[in-house]
Amino acid sequence: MTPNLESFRPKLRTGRVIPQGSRIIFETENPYNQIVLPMALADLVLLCSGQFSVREIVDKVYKKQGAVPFRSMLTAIHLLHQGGFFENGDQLALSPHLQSWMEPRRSRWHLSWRFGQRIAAAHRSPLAFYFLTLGLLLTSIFGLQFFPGNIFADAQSWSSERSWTELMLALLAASSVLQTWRYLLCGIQLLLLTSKAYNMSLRLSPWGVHLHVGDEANDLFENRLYTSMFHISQILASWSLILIASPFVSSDILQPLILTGSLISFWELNPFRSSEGRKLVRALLIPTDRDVISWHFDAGNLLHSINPEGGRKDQDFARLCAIWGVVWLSGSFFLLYQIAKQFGAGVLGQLTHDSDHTLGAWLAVGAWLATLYYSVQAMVEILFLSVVQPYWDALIGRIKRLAFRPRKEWSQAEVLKNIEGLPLFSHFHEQFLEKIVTHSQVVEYNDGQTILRQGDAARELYVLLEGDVEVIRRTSSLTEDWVSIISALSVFGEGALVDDTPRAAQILARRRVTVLCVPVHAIRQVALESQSVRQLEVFRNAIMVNQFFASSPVFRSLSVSSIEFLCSRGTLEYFDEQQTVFKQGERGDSLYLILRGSVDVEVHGMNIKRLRQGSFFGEIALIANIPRTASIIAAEPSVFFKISSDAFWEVLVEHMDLGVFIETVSETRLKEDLALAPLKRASGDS
Amino acid sequence: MMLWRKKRIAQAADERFSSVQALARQLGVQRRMNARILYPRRITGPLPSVSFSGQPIQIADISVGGCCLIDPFEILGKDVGNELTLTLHFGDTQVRVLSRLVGRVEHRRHIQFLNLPQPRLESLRLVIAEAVGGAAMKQNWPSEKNGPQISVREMWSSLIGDSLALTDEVHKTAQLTLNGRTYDLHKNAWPTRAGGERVTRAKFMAMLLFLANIPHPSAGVQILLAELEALALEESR
Repeated sequence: MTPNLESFRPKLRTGRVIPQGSRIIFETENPYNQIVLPMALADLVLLCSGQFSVREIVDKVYKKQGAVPFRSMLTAIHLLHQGGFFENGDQLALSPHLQSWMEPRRSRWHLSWRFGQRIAAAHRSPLAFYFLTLGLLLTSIFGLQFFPGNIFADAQSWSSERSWTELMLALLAASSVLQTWRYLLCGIQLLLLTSKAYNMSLRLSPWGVHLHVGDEANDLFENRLYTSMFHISQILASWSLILIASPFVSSDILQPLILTGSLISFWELNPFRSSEGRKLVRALLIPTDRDVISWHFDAGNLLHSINPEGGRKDQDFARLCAIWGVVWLSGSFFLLYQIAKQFGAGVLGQLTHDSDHTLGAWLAVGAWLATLYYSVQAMVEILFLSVVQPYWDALIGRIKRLAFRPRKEWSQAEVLKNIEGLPLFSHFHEQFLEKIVTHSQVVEYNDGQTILRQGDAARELYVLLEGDVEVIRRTSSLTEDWVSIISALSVFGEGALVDDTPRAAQILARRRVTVLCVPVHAIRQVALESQSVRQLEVFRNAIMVNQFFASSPVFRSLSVSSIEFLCSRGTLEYFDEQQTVFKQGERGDSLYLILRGSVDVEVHGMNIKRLRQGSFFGEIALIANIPRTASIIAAEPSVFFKISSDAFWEVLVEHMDLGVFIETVSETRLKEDLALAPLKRASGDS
Repeated sequence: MMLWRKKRIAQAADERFSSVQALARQLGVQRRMNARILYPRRITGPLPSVSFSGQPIQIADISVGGCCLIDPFEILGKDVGNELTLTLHFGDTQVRVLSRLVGRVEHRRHIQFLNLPQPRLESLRLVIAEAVGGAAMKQNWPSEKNGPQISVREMWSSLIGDSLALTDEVHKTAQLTLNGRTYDLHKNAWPTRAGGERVTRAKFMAMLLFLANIPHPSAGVQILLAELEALALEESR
């Protein structure tokens, strides 16, 4: 049986670990087979002897260092696996989440020689960036005057007098020059705007041989105006060179530049991966780091734990990309058809009839066929992945929803079978459970129907048997706050158990839902009769904790045993409004889950953000073994579930993907803190 | 092709690692801010020496808020809460600091500084910030029988990225990485940067303090520290 990541026992090939400053090099017996890793991962590499599982390695590193760099560890395991450094690599199986996280980018059809890992300027010059980019945009727009009215007729007249060798070499040379110009400007713009440019390389790609600058520094953009200017200027950059070159070069040279410039701009407008157009739309629609997490995880619903709107934005973006993709692909197929019509016969003729079979001619034909193959393959792939698959998934989802028919009648046995699986009902003896169900009623609600109204008298508790419900709270200013989504099987409306205060939130059905409506008096009566449930408050607490774990997209993926373990180790803590949970700089020994209420996050005394019900905090101090990085203050009367550091780590060791997610959230939150509190930080350091 | 693959893997490895610790340090949250550092055995470098009523007292550790003194003859008295005026000697200059005895365990006296001048406090903070990284160092796992073998004698590292490798080479005894910069430590010779340039005396002192703060040092680390201290003493003479 194939082990999962946690139980995989990595065994590295025979080799040695060479320390090199803050890095290590692992080298097998073949010295060309090397991998460079951070020094912090030396223990991981040294423990990959086949004797320990990944779970045991994480445990050992945690016990020694007090923290585990999950993402780095998993990245290292992935790279070692991909590089064939594991003797038993074929035994490793990754969960889909980890797989999607570790392979966010697909390999491309190019070869590169990297000559610069990072260039850093002394300081940023946004003003210089602004004027340079503005100039670039203006010259590009003026350059567009060279765009021909009938590009195919022009191209044919230009190509008809030349052999295929000349034609292809001219086009490749022109695209190489234009791409080099574009990336040169890109590097300068990045240096001016972010003071950093990463991974400069010389690249052999279907565009020819050209300079390439990595897009890693794009993540450092902070301003939407600059972001828009940068990407638009990159789409049009070729035309600025055409304008500048036009007075100095003949039309024989200008023509291939115009042809390839048109192709480059058209390619950069594609809505798929790695195009400037897509980066622009993504930057405008998904501006915050935390949304990028869902991008990496490729699963919007995970994000609900920290940002409920994240998933919706992703959906909007996917929908826009799909429509855009159809338009762009239609254009590109038309373009391909025209190219084939104009030049295809020439290629076939070259292969079959022409007698001029020189090496250059064959190379030109090969380059043409390779480009055609790459373009068609890429288009088919992106068409399938970005357009067909989402709509196919949507269609399947729709069919499933249509096929979903709530059962008209739930038998008592069915209800019992469903609710006895809930940990909170495990306190009840079967006969008491039957009594509760006898007094209860199964009710169905349609999409959007209100189940509970805020302010209504609380007389029932609800068990969600099928479907999802949305929790919304109206504030005093009559605005609506989205609180969370609760999924089956779960319980809501439990506040009615202990007091007679009105409902604190509104519950709406999402699609069709089935709930078991349990009168509170029935539970009270059973609780009084039951030997095991004496205190209703304890019962309510159990419901709150269970509800959190059942509804949280992050924690729901944990195994039942892990949830039970966390529940058994955690404690409930109650805080009043404006009460401090912990202060920045204090030692952190626990993670907090927000069961009810909300908290304000303060860094260096500056209010950074508000976390609401269903979210969690305090994870950074645990995952990195550092003091609290922010102060947390209850924004309203709140209830938290406090999990100790040791219990938390015992679960993380078993669930590496949860560790990766929490570490990613930690990094994102720290980046937000750094972005929002720089002035305070500077004064705090002094 | 092997070469291409090697470069690609190295490049990917470089790009895809990140650190929560590093971000927290940028935010100003780190364990070292109020940490105490141990004193080297024979040389104090930029750290002060302490005297009370003209009599020198041995220091066990120091932070920006106070220090721990070894007082076997009870010069400082027994009563916790007493206020004392200590003299801190920074090289040729000295500062009189009002202090309070806040605790005592056997011969150890825990002192709180009440009016350490701000410039001194800041310079002390800088020295401590460089040295306290040593406290986060842990010795790496030894080579397993069937696992990868370490190419050096001992390897120490911390999650922050500092590292120490003790080698078996004839002249070069160790390689130390501090705050992203790598230094070579030589037998009976002044430490150099990776390029061969001699380090400054201040940097050398920072290295000494860093090494002195490594918890549970092995025999190899202790010998290295002793050799470096001897070198520093010889140089100062």
